[in-house]
Amino acid sequence: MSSVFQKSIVINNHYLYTRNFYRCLYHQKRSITSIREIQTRLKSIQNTKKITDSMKLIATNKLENAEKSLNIARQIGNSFNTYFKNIKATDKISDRNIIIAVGSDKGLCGGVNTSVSRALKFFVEDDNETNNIKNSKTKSLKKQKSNDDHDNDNDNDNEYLEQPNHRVFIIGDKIKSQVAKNIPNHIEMIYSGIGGKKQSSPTFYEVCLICDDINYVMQEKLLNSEVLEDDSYDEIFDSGFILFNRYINSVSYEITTLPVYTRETIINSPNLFTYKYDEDIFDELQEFAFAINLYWALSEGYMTELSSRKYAMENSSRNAKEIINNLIKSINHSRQTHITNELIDISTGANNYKK
Amino acid sequence: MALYNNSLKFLAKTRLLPSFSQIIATRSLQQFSLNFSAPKKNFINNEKVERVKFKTENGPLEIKAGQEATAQRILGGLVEIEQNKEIKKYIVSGGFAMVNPDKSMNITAAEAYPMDYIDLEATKQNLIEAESQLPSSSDDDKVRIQIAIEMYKSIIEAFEKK
Repeated sequence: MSSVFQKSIVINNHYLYTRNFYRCLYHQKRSITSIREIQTRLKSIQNTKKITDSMKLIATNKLENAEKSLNIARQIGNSFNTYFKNIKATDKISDRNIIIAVGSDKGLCGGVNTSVSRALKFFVEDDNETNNIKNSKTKSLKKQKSNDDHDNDNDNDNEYLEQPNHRVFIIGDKIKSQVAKNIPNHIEMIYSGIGGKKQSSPTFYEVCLICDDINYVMQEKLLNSEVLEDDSYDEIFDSGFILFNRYINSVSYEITTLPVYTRETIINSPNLFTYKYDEDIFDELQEFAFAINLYWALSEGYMTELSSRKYAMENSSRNAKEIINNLIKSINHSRQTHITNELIDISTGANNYKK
Repeated sequence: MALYNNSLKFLAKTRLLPSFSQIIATRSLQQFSLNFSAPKKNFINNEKVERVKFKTENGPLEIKAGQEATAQRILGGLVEIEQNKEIKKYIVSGGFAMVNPDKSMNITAAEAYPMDYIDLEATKQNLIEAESQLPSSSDDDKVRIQIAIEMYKSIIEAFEKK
């Protein structure tokens, strides 16, 4: 028993000794280490400032080209959409709706992507909630009916088919990561890497490829789904819209939608015959309108991304500059205090030596 | 009426040209505003033109002022636009031409270039290459090559007209 007790004393002594030793070390070197810590922090912040400055420069260089292509895209979109305004084509949301959300691949551009993803969640989740309410109502009705008589249960089943069923196509990786948890069942396809490696402005060719792929995906979906013989669909989707940020100023943008017309909506529009047609052009017209609207939306989104990135990077480099100034001040202050302390020590030692 | 006749006689006698305002008035009747744009460039932006000519499925179509509203699909090839008695020629890959009820016109093309940008000999070479590739290619590529051959032929046709 005694040996164990002694051992513990030894250990305790050792522990106390080492702790005191390190404490002494810490007290001695405190001022120097704090300066070094501040210097490493200063270096890291200077590096981040370099990065933000260069990102701002890149964004400003790209802005000119983006603005040119945006002006052309606006012109072409407006001139082509006068036709749809004149024939009064509807942009109502109906069953089998597609949503195309336009965002950016890279972050660090303010709240551009969050505004789109918030709107997307709003559109999709809102309709889901109404669906749930209706379903619960039909269920409660069913229960009542089943209590009354068991035969009429199948009447309410057809109502499930008529709810709008949103299919979501996402352009840009950032929106995917923000939305993927909330609406995983609705996402159909994700496209990224628009503008190539240089992240330049979107081209019409890329837009055509995306449109083709969306049509292909929806067609596959229609072929694989079990469609009743009574409602045979002519269209691969009934309605749709594009969600994107419309560029207003260098500091402001607005979330807007552009409709995706289908052959049915064009043919059923009320003022269709204000125009004369020599042949059946509606298939090509629908595809071309889809591509042009998507091109317009993509170039607007690209412009907002660049301008807000420029603004955000400007702010962050300004903040970094402030922090750097403060850190330099604190370094100087601590170094000065260190020197004065040493001077006091020396002078007191000299006084003692004289005595 | 008498006054009108007198003035006409006067004009005939003195062989004076009609006044400047009269010229503008007659011209504005013959002209209409045109928007001609492609995704890469905006060629004509709400400018007054006299005549537009392009190719459709039912043959060539010419549009003048006072045309009733139509929607037409443009086939690939030449688009001629007469502006202030100058004819501008463009090569278009395909698109749509809409004459609106307010008599203005929109031409939207997938791709368009002025005719000066296009090299005739290069297109001829490309045509020969494409025709040689056509038999030994898959079904998907065959459709693409046939579209390209049609386009090359229409470009060469446009140059021969000149």
